[in-house]
Amino acid sequence: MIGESLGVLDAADRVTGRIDYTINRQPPGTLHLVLVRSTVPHARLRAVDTEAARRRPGVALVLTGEDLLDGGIRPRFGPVYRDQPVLAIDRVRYVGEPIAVVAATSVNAARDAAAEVEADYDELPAVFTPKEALAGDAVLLHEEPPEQGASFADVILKGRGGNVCNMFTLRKGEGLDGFRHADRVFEHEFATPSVQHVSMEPHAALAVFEGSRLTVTTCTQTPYAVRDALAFMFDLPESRVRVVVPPLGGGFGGKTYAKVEPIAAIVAQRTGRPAKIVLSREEEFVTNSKHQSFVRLRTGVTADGLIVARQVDALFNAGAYTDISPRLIKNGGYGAVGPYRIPHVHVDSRAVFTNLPSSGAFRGYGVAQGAWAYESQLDIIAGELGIDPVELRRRNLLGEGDTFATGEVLHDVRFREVLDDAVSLFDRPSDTPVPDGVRRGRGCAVIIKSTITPSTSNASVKVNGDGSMQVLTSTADMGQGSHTALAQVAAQTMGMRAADIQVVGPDTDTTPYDLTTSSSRSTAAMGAAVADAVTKARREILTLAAQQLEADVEDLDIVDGVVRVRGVPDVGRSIGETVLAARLGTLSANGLFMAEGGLDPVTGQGIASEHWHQGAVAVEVDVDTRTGKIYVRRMRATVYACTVVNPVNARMQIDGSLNFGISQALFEQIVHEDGHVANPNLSEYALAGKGDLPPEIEVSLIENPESNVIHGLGETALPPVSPAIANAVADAIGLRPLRLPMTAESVHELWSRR
Amino acid sequence: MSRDATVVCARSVDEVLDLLAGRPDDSKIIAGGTAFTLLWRAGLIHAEQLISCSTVRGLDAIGTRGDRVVLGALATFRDAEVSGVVRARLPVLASALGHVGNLRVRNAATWGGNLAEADNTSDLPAILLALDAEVLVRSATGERASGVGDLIVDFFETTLGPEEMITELRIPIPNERYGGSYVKFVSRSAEDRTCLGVAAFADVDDDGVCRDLRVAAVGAAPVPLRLPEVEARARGERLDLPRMREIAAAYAERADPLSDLRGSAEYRRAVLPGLVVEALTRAVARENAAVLL
Repeated sequence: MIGESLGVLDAADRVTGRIDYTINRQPPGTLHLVLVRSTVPHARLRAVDTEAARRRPGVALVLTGEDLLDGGIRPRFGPVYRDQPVLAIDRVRYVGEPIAVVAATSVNAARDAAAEVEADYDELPAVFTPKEALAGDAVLLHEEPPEQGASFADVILKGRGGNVCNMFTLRKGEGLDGFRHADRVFEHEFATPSVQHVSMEPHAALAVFEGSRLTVTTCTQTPYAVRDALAFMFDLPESRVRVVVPPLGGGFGGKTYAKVEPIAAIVAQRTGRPAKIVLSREEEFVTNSKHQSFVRLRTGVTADGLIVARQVDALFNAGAYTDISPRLIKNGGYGAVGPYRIPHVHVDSRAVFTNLPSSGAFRGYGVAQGAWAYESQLDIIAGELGIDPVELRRRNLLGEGDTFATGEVLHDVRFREVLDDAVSLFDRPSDTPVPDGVRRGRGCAVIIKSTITPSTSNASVKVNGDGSMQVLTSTADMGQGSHTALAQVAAQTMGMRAADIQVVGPDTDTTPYDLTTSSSRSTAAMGAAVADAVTKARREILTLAAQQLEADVEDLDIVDGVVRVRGVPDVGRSIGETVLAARLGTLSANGLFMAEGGLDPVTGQGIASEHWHQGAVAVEVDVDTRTGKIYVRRMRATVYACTVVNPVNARMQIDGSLNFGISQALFEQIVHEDGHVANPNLSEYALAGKGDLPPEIEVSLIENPESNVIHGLGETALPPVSPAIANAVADAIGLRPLRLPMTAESVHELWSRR
Repeated sequence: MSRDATVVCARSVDEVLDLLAGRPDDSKIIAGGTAFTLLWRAGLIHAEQLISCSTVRGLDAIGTRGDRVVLGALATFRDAEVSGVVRARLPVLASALGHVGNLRVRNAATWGGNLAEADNTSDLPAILLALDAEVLVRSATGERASGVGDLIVDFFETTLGPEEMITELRIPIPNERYGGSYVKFVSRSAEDRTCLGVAAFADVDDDGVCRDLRVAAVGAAPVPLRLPEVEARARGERLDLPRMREIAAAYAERADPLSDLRGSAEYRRAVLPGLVVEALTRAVARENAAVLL
C-alpha cells in the first residue's frame, strides 16, 4: 500500500542475475553486429572498403552509409531533428561515429571482419568546445538545416547559424534593463565536463523482421519514441512495429530515444535474420553523455541582498548531432535561474555542435549544470555582501504564490522548509577531530527542477476471475523500482494486496502509450494513469457487486480484495467472484494522465512544469591542504516528496542521487584528446565507490498530509550536491573551484596559489 | 583492436614454461586477468597464445622459509591479505593489500601478475622494494633469482624474458625493531589506482636515533623509487621532523613522475614530500599498517 516499505518486486531476480535482460535474448540464427567506427574527429568520407571484411568467415552482411541510401529507408534519425545518420554518409563528425556495420554468425567473427574494414578520410578541421565552435572562422558541422521530427513540433529552430544547434531564450520583467535596479552586479563563469551515465547494462537491441512486421527488443527508457522512430525510418504503420522492453540494468537518461535500435532493425530487414547488437563499455563512451557546459551568470543584487536581475548565458556542448539538446537547453536555461524571486530575467541558452559524440539526457537534465553556477555564485555574493549564505537564500527563495522565471505562479512551495531542514545538519557539531593540514567547511545548496510538461501516460488494468490483477504499463523498470511503486498505487486504489498484482512492462503491442520513463515522472504520472484505470475498474466491480449482492453501490467498499457492505461484516464477495459471476472473463479498464503546459518559444513564458521538484543538500567536508583532496564527512539531503509511496525505495533514490552527485563533484569527467576519449573504461574513468561516501548520510523527505500528490524523487537531490560541496570547500579554504570536477589537483593548485 | 587468440589452460608450471618455450614471441600468461583484460581490450598487448594459469595447482601457497615469507606466484591479493603468516610477519603488506581496488579485484589479481605488469603505480612494489624482496624467475631451461628493484626496469617493463615466468616471491621478515607504514594516496575515488604510495620501514632506538631506514615510493617515477644514499645519510641521526622533511625533499628532488589522469607530474612532485613525511612519522610511531588517503 502507499506509504509501505515494500521491497522492490524484482529484487531477488536482480541480485541473483535471473533477470532476462536484452543482452540475454538470442533466438536461433541470430546475427551479431559490430560497428566500425570513425578514427578521426571530422572528415569527408571518401570511401569505405568492405571487400576484405565481406570475405571473412561467418560474415552475412557488411553495410556502409552509402548502402543505406538505396534501400527504401530513411537513413537519418533523431528525436527532435533527424540529423544523425545510422551509418555515416559522406562525412564523419566525431571519433567513434559508426561508418559501417558487420553482421556475422558470432561476435568474434563480426569483430574480426570489422577490423578489416578500411576507411579513406579527407580530414577537416575539428572543433571540440562550444567556444571553438562559435569562433567566426570555425568549420561548420552541418551546412543544411535539419528535418524536424513530428513529436517536437513546438521546438522552434532558433539561433541557428554557425554551429549553433538551437537556442532557448527567456525574457521576464525588464530583462537586461532590470540590472538598473541593482546596487551591485556579480558575474562569473562556471563549467562542468561531459560525463558518462555508466549504466551497468550497456545499450543493446535485438531486431527481428517477419515480413513487414518489425519487433525490436531493447533496453530503452522510451519505447514509444523508439517505435515511432523505427516506423518512420522504414515507412511502416506504427502498428507494425513492436518494441519490447525487458527490465533495464540502469538508464539515467542515457537510454532515451533511439540509439542502437535502427542499425539492428536495418540489418534484420536486409538479412531476414534476427540481428543483435550489444555495445562494449568503450562504445558506451562514444554513444551518449552529459552535456559539457559553460554557464556565464550575471546577477544584480540590492545592498540588502535582494536579487533583482539575473542574466544567464549558457553554452551546452551538444556534440555532433542534435539528439535531445533543444529540450535540454530549455530546462537548462530556465533551470539556471534558480529557486529565487527575481523580477528581471534574461536567459540565452545555446546548444552548440562540436566534433564530439552527441550529448543527451542525463539524470538532472540540464539543471545540474545551472545549479552548479547559481548556487556557487550565491555563496560568492553572500561573502561579498557579508550576509550568511543560508540567510541570503532565505531572503530570496520563492514562496507560496510567487512567480517563477517562466511567469508561472507556484503553489505548494517549500523551498525555505527544505533548506532549513537540510542545514539542520549543522545543529549538531561535528564530533570528529580535524587532523593537521586539514581544513573543515560547511556548505549548502537548494534547487528547483521541473518535470517534463506537457506529458501523457496511459495505463491499462485487467482484473482476473481469481481476483488477481495485471497492470499494463510502458514505464520501464530500470532498477528504480517503478513497477513496485505502481503496484502499490494500484493496490491502494483497488483495496487489494500488492502481492496479487502483476505489473507488465513495456511492449508497444500490449501496453499503452507513455511519453518516457525519465524526468522523475513515472511514479507521479504513470501512477496517476494507473490510479485512474484502477478507479474505473473498481467502480465497475462495485456496480456489478451491487447487483449481485442486491445492495446499494454507495454502501460498498473493497477491503483486502473483498467487496464489503459497510456495516454488514458477514456479507461480502471477493473481486474474483464478482468478475466470475458477471461472466466477464477479465474486467479491463484504461487510465490516462495528461499534464498541460509548455513555454512560449520566444519569451520562455508559460507553464514549464506540472509541479516543481524542490530539494536541498547540506554537507560538511574536509580538505586536505597537502594533497587538495576533498573528503565528504557528513551530508543531509532534504526533498519535498508531498506523498511518499515507498519509504525505503524513496530513500534509495535519494542515496543514488547523492552518490551520483559526489562522484560528479569530485571525480567524473570524460577526457577527450583531439576528439578521442582518453578514459573509456572504468579503470581510467573514475567513479565514486562506497569508500567515497560519507559515513553519515541523512535523508529527509518532507510530506504533505493534506495532499495525495506524488512528487518524483529520481533526480531532485542530485543537482545541489556539487555546489554544496564547492561552498563547503570555499568555507574550508577560502578559495573556490569554478569548474567540475573538483579534483585533488585542481584544489591543490588553488591552495598553492593563495 | 584486440583479435582472437588461442587460450590454453596449463595444468602445471612446467606446462606453462613449455608452452612459453614453444612460442616465446607470441604468448602471454594470464594469471588473475585484472590488468591483462584492460591492456588487451585497449589493444596495448598482443599475443596469439594466451596461457591461462587458472588451472595450475599448487602455486598459491603462502608460508615461511627461514627468515622469509614465501608466496607462490598465483597467490591472490586476497589470499595474502587474509593470510595469518602475512598478517603476523608483514602487517604493513597485509594491510596495504586490503586497500587495493575492491574485493572483486583482490579475489582475482595475483601478486605475480602484478609484479610482471610493472605498473608504476602498483602498491606492492613499493613495500617489496623497501623490504629487499626477491622473486624466483623460471624458464624451461633454468631459473634465476632477482631483486624486485632489478626486475622492474621501466614503465611497464621488466627484465622477464619471453620464456620466463615469476614463480615465487621471497620477502625478508624485518626484525622486531622495525616500525613500518605504507601511505597510499588515491587522488580520485577510493577504489582507484594509486596516485602516489610511500612505504617506510625504520629501526629507531630508544633515543630516537635511526639505526636503519628504508623508503620506497611508487607513482613518483617510471619505476619504484628507492634512494639508498638518502637512507644511509639518515643512519645514526635523529629521525625528527626536520630530518624527515630533508629525506622527503631528497625523494621529491629525485622523483621523475609521469602525468596521467590521476595527477600531473608537477602535482605528484609537489605532493610527494608530505606523503614521505607522513609515512616516516607513521613508521617511527610503529603503526605497522597501511593508510589510505
